[in-house]
Amino acid sequence: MEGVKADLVVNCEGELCPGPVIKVAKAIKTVQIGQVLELRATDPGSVADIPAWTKQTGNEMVARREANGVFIFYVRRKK
Amino acid sequence: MDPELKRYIDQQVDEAVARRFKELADRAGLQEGPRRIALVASKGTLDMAYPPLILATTAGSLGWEVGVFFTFYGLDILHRERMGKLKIGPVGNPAMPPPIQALPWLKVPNLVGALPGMTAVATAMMKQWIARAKLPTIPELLEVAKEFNVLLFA
Repeated sequence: MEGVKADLVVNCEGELCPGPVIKVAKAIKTVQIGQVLELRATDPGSVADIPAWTKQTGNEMVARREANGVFIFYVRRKK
Repeated sequence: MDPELKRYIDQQVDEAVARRFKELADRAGLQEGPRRIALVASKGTLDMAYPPLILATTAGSLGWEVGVFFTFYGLDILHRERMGKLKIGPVGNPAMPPPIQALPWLKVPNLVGALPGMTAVATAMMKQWIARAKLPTIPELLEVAKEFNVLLFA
């Protein structure tokens, strides 16, 4: 998990719904297919929202972890 | 009933139901294209402007085809000058949070809420809360909606 390298970091710390989902949806378009996005959020809703978003949009959740109340998601653009 | 026969019947029914569902889905055009959602924005207060726009931008971020129909007071959400000045009134809203967080039992009675200037006070309070929660403003949400190609009908 530590080995995951992100091509772009998106910081949504302190933001509530719908911030994280909107930011990840916008940011994913700025990276190339196959590249990985790191999303950092403190909204507890993002724990359910981001995996649901990757599932619905067909992108891949590479890894996820939590550190000091920050939820970190690694999302790979698939299409 | 003979278990063999029961299994046969179950299988036949399952297949027939699945076939029928597919026929109906095909006829309704459900199998092709992205998922779609239609929303109605009919209120022009600050609190009620959020739900349709939050749903619209979230659905847009999922790649859905989104349409929002603005009508009645909801038209203010699209009005260039009024969209940034939407208000919320304290009267007739028992869910309104207490004005002082340290005194949660101190609710504003409707009669006090009806005094001149109280709408401005409630609006300022809600805007403060929105800024603290880092929620987008209404004009910002509209910008996001446009970026996701949300269709706005007025």
